[in-house]
Amino acid sequence: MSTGLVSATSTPTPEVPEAFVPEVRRSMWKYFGEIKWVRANTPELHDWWEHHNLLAHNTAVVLLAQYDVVLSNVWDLSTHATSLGRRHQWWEQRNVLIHNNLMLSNVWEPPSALPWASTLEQRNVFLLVNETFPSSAQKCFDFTFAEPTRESPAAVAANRRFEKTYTDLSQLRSAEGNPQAFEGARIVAERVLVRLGQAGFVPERVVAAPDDEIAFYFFPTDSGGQPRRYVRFGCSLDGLVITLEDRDALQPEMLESGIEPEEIDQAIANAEGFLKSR
Amino acid sequence: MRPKDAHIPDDDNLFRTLPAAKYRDDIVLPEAIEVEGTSCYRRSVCLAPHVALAHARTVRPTDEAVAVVTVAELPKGEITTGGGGRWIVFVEDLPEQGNEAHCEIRFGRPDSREHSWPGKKNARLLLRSTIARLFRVIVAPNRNA
Repeated sequence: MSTGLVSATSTPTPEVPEAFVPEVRRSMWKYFGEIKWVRANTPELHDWWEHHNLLAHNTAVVLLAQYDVVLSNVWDLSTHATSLGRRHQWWEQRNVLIHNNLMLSNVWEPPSALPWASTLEQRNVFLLVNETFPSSAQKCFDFTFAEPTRESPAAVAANRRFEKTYTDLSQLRSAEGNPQAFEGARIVAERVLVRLGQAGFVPERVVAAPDDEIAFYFFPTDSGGQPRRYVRFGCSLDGLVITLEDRDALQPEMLESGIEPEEIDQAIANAEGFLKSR
Repeated sequence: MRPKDAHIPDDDNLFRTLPAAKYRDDIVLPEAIEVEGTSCYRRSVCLAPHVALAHARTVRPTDEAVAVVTVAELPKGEITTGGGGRWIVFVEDLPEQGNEAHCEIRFGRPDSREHSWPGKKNARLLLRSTIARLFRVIVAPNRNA
């Protein structure tokens, strides 16, 4: 069996040797942080991709079984993205890795034995699996297929806002003549933006701020629908500073955070009550 | 040119003109405030916010809105930043050739009226946020005072 990205032939996926299951399971969960199972039939895959491509930073996509079929679908979507003018860094920007070689020479290998496995650490991993995946392999991964759901108009709008914010972020320029610090801030801001998106929050605005900072703004509304406050995520090489501004408070509240993913997640959690409109 | 006033009365209004990126509806964002000195127009000199905006556009064509704060609304006491730094706010009258209404909102140490600002970024952000929240937008596209 070829281990390249595209195969001309379809080879039935072998059953997993029973004795091998525990080791594969242990290895999989060691290396894969978050696993999403996606049925890889074309329309469903398309739905999934439409929903996730915007949030797919730092993501690995692992294709299992019948990969020639699956890959041709993904490849079509990639081509679609190309036609939208995002050819050059479309995959790279999202740091998407595609692997189809969980199996080598029809022999099941634990991921830890594969040269690419270590690259999956700290990533969100999406496993695309088609329906011909052998039942015995399911024991390795404990997966069940979730029925694909159509995204609500609100979710579609959120995705579009995310894409626009991401584009705006990529086009910001430092106003203070320190490009190196600003590019560092941009890297932090990209990380914050993705974590915010994954938590269900899409900033309304992104601006280049003084001190080579990049700031995301949210404008939650009060019960009358009026914006009375803002939440500001200020990103710089030095860290993340969240400003919670409420006109009823005596002064703005500021929360400081580091820039590691888990620190950002905690900071978002701390600001979550404020981010939601009342 | 008029002489510089040593003291700007509390009832004078200060206009700050803004591009779209620095406000949202009635909210003025911290980016609108500069710790090195936030230029404003004194109402007692320029008379109307539209006059201030017309002048600002000759220098910054993207300015489109005007926010206002009265001198009395600015903090009278000390502002304490996270690191324990103590700061005061004052307004310096700075009439210029071609812009006699010009003044600046400035920061300084409590024991000195000299213009200075914090070295720490977070302290600078706190000062900017503290002043920005006092302004209210009175002129914006499709909305006039």
